[in-house]
Amino acid sequence: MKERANRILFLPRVPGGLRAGGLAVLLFFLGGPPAQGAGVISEAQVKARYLELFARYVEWPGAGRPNDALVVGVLGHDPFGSALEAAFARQIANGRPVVVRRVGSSAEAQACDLVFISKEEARRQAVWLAELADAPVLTVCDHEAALGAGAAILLVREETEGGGRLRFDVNLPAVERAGLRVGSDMMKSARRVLRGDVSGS
Amino acid sequence: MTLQPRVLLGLAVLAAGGAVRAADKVDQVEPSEPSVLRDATFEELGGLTISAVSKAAEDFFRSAAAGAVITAEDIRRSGALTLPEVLRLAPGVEVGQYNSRSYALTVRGFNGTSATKLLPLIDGRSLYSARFGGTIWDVRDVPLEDVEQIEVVGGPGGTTWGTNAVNGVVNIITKSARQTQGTQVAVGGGVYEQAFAYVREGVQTGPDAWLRVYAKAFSRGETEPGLGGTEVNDAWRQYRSGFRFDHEPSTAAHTVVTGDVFFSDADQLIGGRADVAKASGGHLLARRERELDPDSRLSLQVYYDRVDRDSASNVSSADVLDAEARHEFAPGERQHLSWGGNVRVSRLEDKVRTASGFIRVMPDVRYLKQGALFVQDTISLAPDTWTATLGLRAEYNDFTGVEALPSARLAWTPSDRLTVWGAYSRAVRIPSRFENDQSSELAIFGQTFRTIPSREVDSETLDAFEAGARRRVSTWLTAGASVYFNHYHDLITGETVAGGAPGLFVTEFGNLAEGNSWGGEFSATAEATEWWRLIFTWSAIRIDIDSDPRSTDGSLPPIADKSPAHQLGLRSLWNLGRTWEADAWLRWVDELPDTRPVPAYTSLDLRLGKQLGRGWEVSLVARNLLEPSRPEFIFSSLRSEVPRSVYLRVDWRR
Repeated sequence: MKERANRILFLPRVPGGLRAGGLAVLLFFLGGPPAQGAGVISEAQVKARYLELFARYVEWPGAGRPNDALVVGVLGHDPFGSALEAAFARQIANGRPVVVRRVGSSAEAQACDLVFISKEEARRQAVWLAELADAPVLTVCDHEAALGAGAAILLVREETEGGGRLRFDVNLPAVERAGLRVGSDMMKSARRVLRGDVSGS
Repeated sequence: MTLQPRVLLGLAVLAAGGAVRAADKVDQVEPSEPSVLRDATFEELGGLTISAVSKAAEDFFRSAAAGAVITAEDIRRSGALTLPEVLRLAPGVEVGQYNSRSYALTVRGFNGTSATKLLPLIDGRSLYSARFGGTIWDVRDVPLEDVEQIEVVGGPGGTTWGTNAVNGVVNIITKSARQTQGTQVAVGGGVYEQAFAYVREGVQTGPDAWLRVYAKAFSRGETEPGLGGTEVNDAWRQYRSGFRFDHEPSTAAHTVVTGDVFFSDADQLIGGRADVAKASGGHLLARRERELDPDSRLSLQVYYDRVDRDSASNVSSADVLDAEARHEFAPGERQHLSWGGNVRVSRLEDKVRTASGFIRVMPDVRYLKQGALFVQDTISLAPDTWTATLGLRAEYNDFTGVEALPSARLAWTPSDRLTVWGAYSRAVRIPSRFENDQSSELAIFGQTFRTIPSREVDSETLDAFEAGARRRVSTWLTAGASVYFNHYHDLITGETVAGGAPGLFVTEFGNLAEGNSWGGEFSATAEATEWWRLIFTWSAIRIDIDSDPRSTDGSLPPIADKSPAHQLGLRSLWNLGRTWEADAWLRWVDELPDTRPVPAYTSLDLRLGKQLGRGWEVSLVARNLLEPSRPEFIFSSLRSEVPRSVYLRVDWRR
């Protein structure tokens, strides 16, 4: 009778084996140490690696910076964690030593060669990009509105059947305005190369 | 049954070992990145698949259907080596292995050796056998290493996938060749899972074009004889090789070509004598998707699939040629319309002979033609909050004519943390060739049973009412629940009448049973910490089928006894340091209270994995740890038991 009631009420009949198994799993779960997950590639890691490639494939005007170091700056919100340092671990790009900085204003950013502005800074990016427009700075952004605001390079996440992947667009007028040159290998690999003026101004 | 002391001891050692590992990992703080990123070119970077919540995952969260997604990571860490074993990961999937190569597998009930109401697909290619009315899982495989994800959809999928998607759909999607670049080798072996090997090479064949070629082979040992059983002789082996090519110049165009061939040898006993069942086959599939303009996409797909089987009294071959065109566009701000057509021609050839009389499927060769037109409109009633999906598919088949497969779904998404949905849909299962064309005569104890071709048999129909919800309770906890009420009618029965001569009985198939089922599925995933994930699943089902008083077939009502009333699952995925993984999977499956009942069972699987660096990885997997062996399903006199298995696996990738 109880059996029948259990079946109607959907109550599971828990046998001894289940209790024992539950105990085993509980035991298994205890004593776990905190540790890092491994083996997956994050968007930040791929972005950081793109910055490292840009630093190698873009030519800055000859009369360079003090000490000839290539300065990579993250302006505002930093989405990279330690990924940027990992990507520039060899600290050398085109024979120049590389320095990675976090900066808070466009004035500080003007002292950099390559500046990344993340999409979390969508509100401030237009002003920053306008202030950096004439400086010899390669501006890299990942907010879709950035190209129209004068960014030199846009990192684009593409969603396909096989999952997301990261590609980039080059805004050639912005690159030229900054007095920079983009290598032909890099141009070939871009998803799109904008040749006309896209800022609408 | 009690837990064995040595298992407990093993667990304790594992737990203690984990604690020790933690201590010597603390000093590893230097920033590191996966080796694939080092020295990557622009092309290689642009080809990498990045982790994060993908659009597919987001679409799934908002979809108005019951379902679970089994990811590549879930598969790898389950330790399962075959598709049916992997499908146990999803809540509500009923999997009963009844010999080394054979599985009864369904969702939401009606399980059997040919479970007629589940439609599985690999990359859009149907695995369903029109000859048997079900899926022969031992001839259907794919390298699990290449699987991107498996969507297990509960409830009808007829509007999208056509007839036979009645109780559910299993949608297996393989990785783009872009994601499987380089070399991967996996070899392993042990007890029961005797030996397996997988080799894959992925290359870039041009700008935005990628190819992978693979070969895999495995040999699985015998199951254990059941109660009173003697010899089993059911070890088997399979070899498979295939490829996938992807051309993805942008999100606006994608071309996929896949193909494979396989050969299988399975030991069996025919009339007590050792015999070998052979199977072989392959497929070729091509699909092209193209963006016509930003709001409009066209997709064309063609495939050919062949399976040959030669098993003692039964020689069969099935060729399927299928073509589908689908156009998606947005006719207005709030609508997304998808429509298209599908044609399929199957050539089914059967020759059956038995010792005690005969079974024939007449004629030897039959062509089954199918054609469908479908349309589905997704309407945003209130932007981002209320979404209605209305669909209709009209499908013709030679066996029963035109079938209508409508569905109506409604989803409420008040925030990106909650989806509530409800649906009504109708699905049909068309009769198999066996039910249409079978002509057989069996003489037993002076009586003769004759089955005559039953061309008048109609489709089985399901009206399904479903509801469900998915919720992101917090950043670390996600849960989903679904409930359903299914009303089946015109279920196929075998009607036996006296044949006019003494001792002669004639069976003809009819549609004289109907009934209901109801139940639900629940799952919860807790990302307790970055290094520890817990997944809990529960499903329940009740089935109540009645034969019409006119029916002489009493075999359908007991189908309720072939489904476990409850199934529970608990998995723990545990990263120990940077290089160790320790995973546990505990399942409890209710009894099958058949005339010969299968007792409820508890199953524990453990996996321990270690990355050795330079692309090397080893793992040790132990499955069904709690018992030496157990029965899971009974088919006729076959009652073999699934044994405990232990295997060691070595992976290398470059």
